[in-house]
Amino acid sequence: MNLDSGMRAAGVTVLAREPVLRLDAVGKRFGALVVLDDINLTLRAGEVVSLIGPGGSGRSTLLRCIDQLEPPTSGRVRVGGLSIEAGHPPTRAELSDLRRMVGMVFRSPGLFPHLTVLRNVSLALERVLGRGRVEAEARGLALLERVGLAGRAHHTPSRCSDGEQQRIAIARALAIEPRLMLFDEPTAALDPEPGREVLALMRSLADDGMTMLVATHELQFAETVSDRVVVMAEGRVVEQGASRQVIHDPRSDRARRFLDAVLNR
Amino acid sequence: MTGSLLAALASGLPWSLGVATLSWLAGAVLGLGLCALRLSRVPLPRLLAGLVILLLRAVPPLLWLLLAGAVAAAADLPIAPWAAAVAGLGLVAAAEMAEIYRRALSAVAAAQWEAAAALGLPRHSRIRDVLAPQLLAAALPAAAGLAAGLLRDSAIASLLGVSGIAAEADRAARAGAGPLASFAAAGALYLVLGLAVAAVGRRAALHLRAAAAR
Repeated sequence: MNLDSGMRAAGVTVLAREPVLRLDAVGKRFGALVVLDDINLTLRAGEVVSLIGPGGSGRSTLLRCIDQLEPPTSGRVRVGGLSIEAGHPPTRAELSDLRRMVGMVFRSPGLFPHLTVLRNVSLALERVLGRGRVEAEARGLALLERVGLAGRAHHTPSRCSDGEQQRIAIARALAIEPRLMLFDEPTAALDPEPGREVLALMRSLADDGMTMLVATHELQFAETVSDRVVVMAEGRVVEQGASRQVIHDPRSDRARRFLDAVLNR
Repeated sequence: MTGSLLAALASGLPWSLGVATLSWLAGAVLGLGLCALRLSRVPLPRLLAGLVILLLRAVPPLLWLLLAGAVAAAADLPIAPWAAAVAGLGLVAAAEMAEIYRRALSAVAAAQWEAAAALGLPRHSRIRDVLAPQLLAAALPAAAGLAAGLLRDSAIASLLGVSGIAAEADRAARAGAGPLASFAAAGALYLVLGLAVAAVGRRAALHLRAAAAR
């Protein structure tokens, strides 16, 4: 167990650490439809925050706005020292800096089917970080070992199970050595068994001190791995706080209604 | 007699291959532009491209060839018959290639494109490493099928006075080789060439897939 996991286990606050992510009044509209409204959120280094809420609450859109896959229509996204203001599209260099700091894993792994598993993982090391092929593949292999799939290195993704593909997608996102990992319902499309394997991998990343923002419907993961839980509904944050408190004793009516429905209380 | 028939057909072979190859190349290039317009986010070029593709595919290649020849004659353009044939067949090929590209593009899942963007892959890498190999591998078998079709359609270029396998078979038949033997031999030659082109296309697609994975 490293320093971060020791700190988390000991209940040491992360508040003193530098913010990795800061969202100021972030909003997103599609025409007249308001998908995100006035989202304020800060993640500090090593912090794990779970986003929970009913379908259509805007969690995926929020993650996509952070990574600028969808440009926010209002507010400001700050990642590390980079600040991106809505209405001022990031330059190519800023976008490149952002993507070097942020790794993202989607519901669908989106692996490149024509490349081997190893090439899927090592490609960004070459093209984004400028590493040589040999070095990139050595690092890619190490990452595949990290996710328990070194034996799949020379297979194509189609030969891997759904759960393995999602773990490869995580290894691929880790390749650029991001400061922040965004997970958009990474187990939503998986059966329980491979879903548990993916969650175990995410738990070990959290133990290693990775800063993570996770949109999930896995309340057990949210409670046991996250430092904080943010409940979203209708595009707004309706409650946030310590994981256990929010899940077992929510203070807002909207969060309580959602959690009561999910937990059959 | 058989030897002279085969020699006659062989003399037409370069013309047939030439017209088919040039038409295919013209279609491959023009089709790319047509496909880009067809997928445009701006409605007008998208609509126009759709109409052009529909028109080019709905009218038989023979008519396009005759039209190309007629336009050249009416405008008094000093254009060789083979060039008019390439223009006519190239237009038809462009419409077909645009649809082949469009289908191949739709086979590359949007999730991959998004994952590539999230990884921070530069645009040229997304195209070269992610899109192009899959696009080529998906499009090649159909593009090879189109090439075989163009080879077959090149026979009608004889109507514009272009030499070729069909034109030479006709000439040999009149010269005494007999219509049955001449046209049967020409048909067999078209069949062999078409199968060969399709096989080359399939092999090239397999080779591309293997090369991309390395």
